[in-house]
Amino acid sequence: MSKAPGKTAPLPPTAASPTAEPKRYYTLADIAAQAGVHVTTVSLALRDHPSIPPVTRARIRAVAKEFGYQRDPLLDALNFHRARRTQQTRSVNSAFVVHAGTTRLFGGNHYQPLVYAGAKAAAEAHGHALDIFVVGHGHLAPARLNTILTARGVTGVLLSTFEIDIEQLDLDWAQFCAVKIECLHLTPNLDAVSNDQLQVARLAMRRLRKLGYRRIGLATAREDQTRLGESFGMGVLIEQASLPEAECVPPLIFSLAEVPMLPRLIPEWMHEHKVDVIISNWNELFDVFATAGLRLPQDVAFASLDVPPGLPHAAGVVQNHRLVGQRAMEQLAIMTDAYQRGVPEAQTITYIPGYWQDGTTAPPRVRRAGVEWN
Amino acid sequence: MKDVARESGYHITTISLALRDHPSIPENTRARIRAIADRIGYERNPVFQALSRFRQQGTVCAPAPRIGYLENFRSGFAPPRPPHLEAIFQGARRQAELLGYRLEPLAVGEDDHDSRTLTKYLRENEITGLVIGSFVPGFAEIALNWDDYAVAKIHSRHTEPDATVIGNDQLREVRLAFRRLSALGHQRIGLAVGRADEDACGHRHTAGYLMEEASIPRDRRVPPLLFPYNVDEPTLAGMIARWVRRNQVDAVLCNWATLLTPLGAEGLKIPDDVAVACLCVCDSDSPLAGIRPHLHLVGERAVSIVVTQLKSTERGLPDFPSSIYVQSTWQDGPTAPDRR
Repeated sequence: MSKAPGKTAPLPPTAASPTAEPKRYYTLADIAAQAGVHVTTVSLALRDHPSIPPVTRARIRAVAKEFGYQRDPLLDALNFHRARRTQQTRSVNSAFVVHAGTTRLFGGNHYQPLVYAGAKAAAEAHGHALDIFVVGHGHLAPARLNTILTARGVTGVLLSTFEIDIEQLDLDWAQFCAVKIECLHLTPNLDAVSNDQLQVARLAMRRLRKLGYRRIGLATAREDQTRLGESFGMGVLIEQASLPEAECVPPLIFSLAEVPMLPRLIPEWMHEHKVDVIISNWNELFDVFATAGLRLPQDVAFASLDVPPGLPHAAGVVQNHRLVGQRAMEQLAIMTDAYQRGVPEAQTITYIPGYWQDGTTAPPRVRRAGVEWN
Repeated sequence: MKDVARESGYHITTISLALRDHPSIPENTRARIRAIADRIGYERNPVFQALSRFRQQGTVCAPAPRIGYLENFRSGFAPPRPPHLEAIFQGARRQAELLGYRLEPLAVGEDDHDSRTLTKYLRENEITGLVIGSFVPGFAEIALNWDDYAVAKIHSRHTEPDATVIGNDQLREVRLAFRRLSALGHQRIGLAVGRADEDACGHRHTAGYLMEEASIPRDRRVPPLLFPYNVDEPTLAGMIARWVRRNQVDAVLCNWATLLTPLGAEGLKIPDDVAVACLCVCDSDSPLAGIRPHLHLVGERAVSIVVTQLKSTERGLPDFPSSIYVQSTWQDGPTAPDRR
């Protein structure tokens, strides 16, 4: 333990000879002596570590306050620097919790593995072990999950996408640091990281309009709209607000039950509203087009709102699923370091933008004689 | 420094002395070491510099490292910040102090810093962390070599750089307020916000409003009133009053907190003639119904992001900048009574 006094309080204006002054800077050691506990106890208590009884934490905090103790930013920066340079030896256990029913999501099934890969990479960088737990029908019940997490000493929890019929997950949240991935509908209101579907839809609208399309139609599932806070719909509405009436196509919002009818519903909607390009997060529409005998891009152009890897010919917006997982895990690592457990005072939501990819399913639209595109 | 030592063949203490221009090192050696340091991109970290001074002298004599807080609307006569911007600034300042930094407000504008003088000032003062503090559209903007700085933006979507953005969530605020007013029995709910605010937040008020409108019958929909830049209060009150009467608005959603008196002067009694919900209730004992944003958390978060970058000596802009929104809460109040 260094005997050097730590920087904790600003210098008083009359800074005379430092030796003559009473001690102005206090370290953890001073607080430990005063409180009658070991210095590591003080360190843990001030970071709100649950291994220290709440009463002791409160007592130590009171002593620290009396001393005017403050964390030293410089030492903080040095620790950060050293932690990054040295091999991580500690390992924190974190859980990647998914719901049994979410494998269907976005059909292509590329979503969940990418999110996990991003989270896993960030977990390794921060010295966290990240294991997958599946809750829901036929798998773990929430109470059982809680028991397992506690028994394994898991402190960090990432909740990846949950279906909308799961409105709540009952864990003892005060025990855990937790971040949600995309499932904004899920109670409690933990901090969340999500793809920026509003930006994704707006970007697709703008790029397609630049390519010469004038009747851009959104097709998506009502369940997705609910789960994503209607972000796709809002993106389309806000873009349509600055377009002429003649370019505003009402979206086709279908329910999951109506999916088998899509080969009929899509052409009907397309013809009724003279849609020249369809935008959708449903990559299954490729099959629907085939079944309905629609040729891309001759009969209608298509831009995916969630271009999966392995479809280089598909035009559309690529969502950064991997980055979503990464950012969520980074945030969880920060919270774990600070022992920020439970439901926050005010929820924050972090959105990750997507980027456009040109493709043959939505080629630049040929200019018809006498019509000027701008 | 170790890398510079390896590269040049000198001992690390020689490097340290040379880079601090110590006279014990011959001048041409100093020059050579400096050249190598420049080539491999060595940079002194002001944080560690302060730390080593602390260790040498057993006391802190280095000033706390600084983070610049850029503002563009206080040019010249430096008017006080409006309450919402003050709340963000105070949150940022407290967080900076908690983490051991000092937040220095820097004004950008015709009578203050331009890009050139600001670059010089930041270099001379070794400030590499910047918060773009809610720039107001229509006022001066700034172009720095962003690769040299750790940057976070508060709102300011209308202007560069393309950095991580932190803000309160106007979109979800409008939706929350709309639903609360609907639940209280208000039928024709209208949105009145400034174009400047819309530009700064990426039209998120309108996005939320349009989505809520899409779910109500057509005869209850009210066209939003987007008022122009730099409009004064009486003019604005007149515009709102005319819009309320023309569209038979029952409840106004507006982000200006000081409109009650001017609206009264236009002959609108609140809440008898029209209910008002404010989208930005900053005053803690305000009786206004509306949205209470956690603006201090917005400022805090922006500083935390810059500090994380400073600690890791990351600079420049991310490839995919995130948008971070702090959620707000609703409060009931006599300006939007229960109409059920």
